[in-house]
Amino acid sequence: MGANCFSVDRRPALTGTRISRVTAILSICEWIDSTAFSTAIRESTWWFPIIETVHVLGIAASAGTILFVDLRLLGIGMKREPLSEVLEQLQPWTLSAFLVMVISGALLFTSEAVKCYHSVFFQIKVGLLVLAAVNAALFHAKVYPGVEVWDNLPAAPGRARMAGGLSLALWIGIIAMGRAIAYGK
Amino acid sequence: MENDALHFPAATRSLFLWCDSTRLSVAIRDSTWMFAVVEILHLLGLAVLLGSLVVFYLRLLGLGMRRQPVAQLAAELAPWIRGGLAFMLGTGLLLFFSEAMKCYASPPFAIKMLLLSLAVVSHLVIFRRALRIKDSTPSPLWTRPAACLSLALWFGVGLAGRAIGFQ
Repeated sequence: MGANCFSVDRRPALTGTRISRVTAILSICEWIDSTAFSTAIRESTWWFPIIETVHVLGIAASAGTILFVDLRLLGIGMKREPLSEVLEQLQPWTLSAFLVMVISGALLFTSEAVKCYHSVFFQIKVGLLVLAAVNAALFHAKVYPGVEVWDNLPAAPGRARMAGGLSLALWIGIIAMGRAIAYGK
Repeated sequence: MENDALHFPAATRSLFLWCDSTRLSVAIRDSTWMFAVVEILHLLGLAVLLGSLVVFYLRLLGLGMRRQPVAQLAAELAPWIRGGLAFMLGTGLLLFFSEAMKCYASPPFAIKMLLLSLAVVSHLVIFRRALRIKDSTPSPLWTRPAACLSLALWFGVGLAGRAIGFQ
């Protein structure tokens, strides 16, 4: 311990742009936390639990419907239904439930923005969400247009199966990380 | 909150006490991460169970998967509903054992167990009848109200479950 008192911090000084970017994001989070709206959610007995419950039960309709598209792509579930049927009939529910998740999630974030800023789990969750979005976009742009050929086959082609498996793994991670945010660091 | 009707009868207290004192309960309670891991698994199970129930009841309500025969869809969802429920019961039991005395005193837990029993019974009745629905005939009158009731019960189970943690 004694030697440390005299040690010099030899880490290179952060460059000006990096400092300002990091501080900018943190100060935005601090500003969000300081707004009357954020304080109201944080300090009310009921708002946070109600919004969080909506957010958690929304998983059923968003991740739950995504799950069955993924299972169909992987050839594990709903094998007797054409893929396009499963996807197109469930999609409106997935999208509206996802909207509910985004709105309730944004409200939860607003109520504790600085906590989220410092949370590793929150950072990982946002990263996984971006990857899930890219995966879904690539699937719809590159793989799904050729669906007529394999719509009725129980097993989809490799690229489609990969998209399904990736989606499944990413959503498991998103849900796990989301729960972990509340457990702390 | 002090309503006696929402509590378990005092005669069951020793059973809860026993659950609370098993080696399993102590192990989960004493570990820093075990409760968290089991709870995350419980939440992932929720996505599977409630997700498959949502797909089934959307079909009964005529709001999704409309071109698939009810009986065929029900048969395809059955393993996911059954497996999801079994997984939820398994992880739920672990959570319960780790804090049985907290559950004993928790009105949300008592409500959750009541709603869970009602939800399982109503689901079994509806599901068995759904397997016999013939595609050629117009869908029976009972399907929509029954689907609404059952879905409300299942989401009530989830709601009460979340409330245990806020106590």
